[in-house]
Amino acid sequence: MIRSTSLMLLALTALERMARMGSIVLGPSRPVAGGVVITPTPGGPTPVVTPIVGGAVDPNVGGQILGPDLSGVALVFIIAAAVIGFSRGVRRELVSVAVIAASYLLFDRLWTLVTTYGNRLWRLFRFAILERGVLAEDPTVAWQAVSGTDPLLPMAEGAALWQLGLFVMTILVFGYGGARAITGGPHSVKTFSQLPKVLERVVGAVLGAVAGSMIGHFVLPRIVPNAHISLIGPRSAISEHIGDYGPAILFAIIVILILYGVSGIGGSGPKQQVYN
Amino acid sequence: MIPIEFVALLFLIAFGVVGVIRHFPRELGATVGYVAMLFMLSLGGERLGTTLYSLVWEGKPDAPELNLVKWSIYMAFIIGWVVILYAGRTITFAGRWPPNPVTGVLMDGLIGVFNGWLVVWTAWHYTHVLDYPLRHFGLFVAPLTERAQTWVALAPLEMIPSGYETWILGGGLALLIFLLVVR
Repeated sequence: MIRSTSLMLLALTALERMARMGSIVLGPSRPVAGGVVITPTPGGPTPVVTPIVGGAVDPNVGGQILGPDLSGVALVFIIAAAVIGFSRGVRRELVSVAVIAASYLLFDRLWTLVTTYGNRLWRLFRFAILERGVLAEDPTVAWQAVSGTDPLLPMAEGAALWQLGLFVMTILVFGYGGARAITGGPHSVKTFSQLPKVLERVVGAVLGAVAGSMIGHFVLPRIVPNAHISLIGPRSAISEHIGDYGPAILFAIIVILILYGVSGIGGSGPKQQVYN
Repeated sequence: MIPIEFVALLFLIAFGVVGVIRHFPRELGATVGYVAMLFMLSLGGERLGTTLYSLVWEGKPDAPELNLVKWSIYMAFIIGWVVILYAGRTITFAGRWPPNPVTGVLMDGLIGVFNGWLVVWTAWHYTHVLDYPLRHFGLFVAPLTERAQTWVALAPLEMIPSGYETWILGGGLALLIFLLVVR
């Protein structure tokens, strides 16, 4: 009872705050730039409250208690990755983004699959190599020893640490050239003309920001349980800080990507299609 | 019933696939048309439905709901515009494409998704502003999910600061035409 009352009070405070900011309209449905529309219709659907990106909405509205807001920390991840992306250029950053996206998918969404097959392989390794079950006179003894042990990869409790470790290792080794550093592969020294152009670097920075966002969304909730990260949603602390600059940043990124694409129309490669 | 945001997402993915198939030079040509569409809607969109409504139905006892008429006209306009941009000979940026296979596919998909955002989110924006006239056909059941409320606010016409529509959309259109002509 107390909780629901306090939630209602919080929701009302948020609405009142938006109304004071001049971003709420009560009455007939009509478009309001940068505001909220409440659309009461006799006999129609339930009136909806539509918060605009960056608007102030209480994080606990709806009965869902969220953890600490780490959007600011996620933003640091994004900026750091964008700087790395700028220095590496679009071609190298593309590989990193692909590896990070695949790792995110594998170690977050498909973790059940990873644990199932990872533990099977681990048991096979123990049976064949550690217990030498393949060459044993009675393999069933070795198999019993193996089958009684705990799985290597946990499904729920303790999984976060494994997920973090595997994710970080994968992106460092395959995404950011760790494999080349470990194996001592060729490090080509590039001349000034071979370095990425400014536009390629800027697009690399955009891709880097995407990579940083994925890293932040994966890593932070596993370090701080129930951490709340919202970069573009109405609950976002970042949205509040960026405020009116959010759309401008988005449109600037769109223009940069279009310019990058247009700069790529040209050349004379053998596999290119000619448009005229 | 499928949430409306997933329907929008489905359309967005479809536009992305179309982008990969048609490639960047053709899709950027379509972008020119979509920015022009938004430019026109921002200038005179409000009058699109009301003028016809006042001419044909206003004052009549069996007049349909104004929002439904306006929504039908907006949707007809947007769908007609899409058909015009994709049918027959289309605006194309001349040159050779792709610069390399990976970047090429990425840019193809991105420009397709961008076009999808311009079209689908604009249609959703007008549907939302007009209080979902889809419910007359049983295609929408209130209320919106929290996710949908967040997503619908990401419509192009919603994100452009009020009063700057002409400058931003006109400037974008001029830039695209400049890139099309002077390269």
